[in-house]
Amino acid sequence: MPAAARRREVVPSSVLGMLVFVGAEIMFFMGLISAFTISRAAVRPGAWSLPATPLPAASTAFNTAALFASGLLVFVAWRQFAGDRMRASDRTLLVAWALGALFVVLQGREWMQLLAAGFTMQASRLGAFFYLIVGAHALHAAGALIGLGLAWWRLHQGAPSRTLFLGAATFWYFVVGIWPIIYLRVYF
Amino acid sequence: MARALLATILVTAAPAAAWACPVCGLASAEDNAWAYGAMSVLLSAVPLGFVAGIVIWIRRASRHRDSP
Repeated sequence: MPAAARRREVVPSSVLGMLVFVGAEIMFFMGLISAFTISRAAVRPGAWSLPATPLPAASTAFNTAALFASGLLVFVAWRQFAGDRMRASDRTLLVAWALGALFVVLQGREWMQLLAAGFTMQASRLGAFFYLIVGAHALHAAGALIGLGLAWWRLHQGAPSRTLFLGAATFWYFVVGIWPIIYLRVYF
Repeated sequence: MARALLATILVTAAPAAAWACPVCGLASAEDNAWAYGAMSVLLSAVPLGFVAGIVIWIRRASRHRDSP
């Protein structure tokens, strides 16, 4: 009897598993944005936010650019990895990680400034939603940076892991991709 | 049992009468009603689109892998 043909993996298991998780997280953020939208539509004029504390949309645009650059560089690093250019992939992934960390740090600095200006969760409905939604994204970004950092470390140590790289990159693409929706909905 | 059955019939057949639909009965303003409707559409379409996208991607990858 001939041996059964070996099944070939069409999509890496790490990517498929991460996509299932990403799907759940997308619904989580859609729920938050839905609550934000419905609350904002129902509130009386002047009761949504304090007039003297506008959100720093312009400086956040710079942070957003850093995040987008990070996502692009993760893709470039993967292409280099797939092409067996490990040293180039190492450098590119490190720069991508640094840009992602810069995004998180700069967002944290903005939070400090907003809190000092009196824009707190208790100050207004906008404040409550802002810290909830943007804070949830920051937690996801921090977690994704840990995964990317582990992938870079394995690569740097000469023991690259394709599954770890792909899984971490998939989650980072989600963090990068969900941010413009949050930014455009909450900051404007 | 009879009350539960009656409540189920009211909720499914006449949600506005049973105040079971947030758009029909519970929305406090017209602006709020469009938001409920739009978000209901979004929360229904996003998971369906996501799952459909993954299925299409896996099928294409499978065909590409199996093609000579």
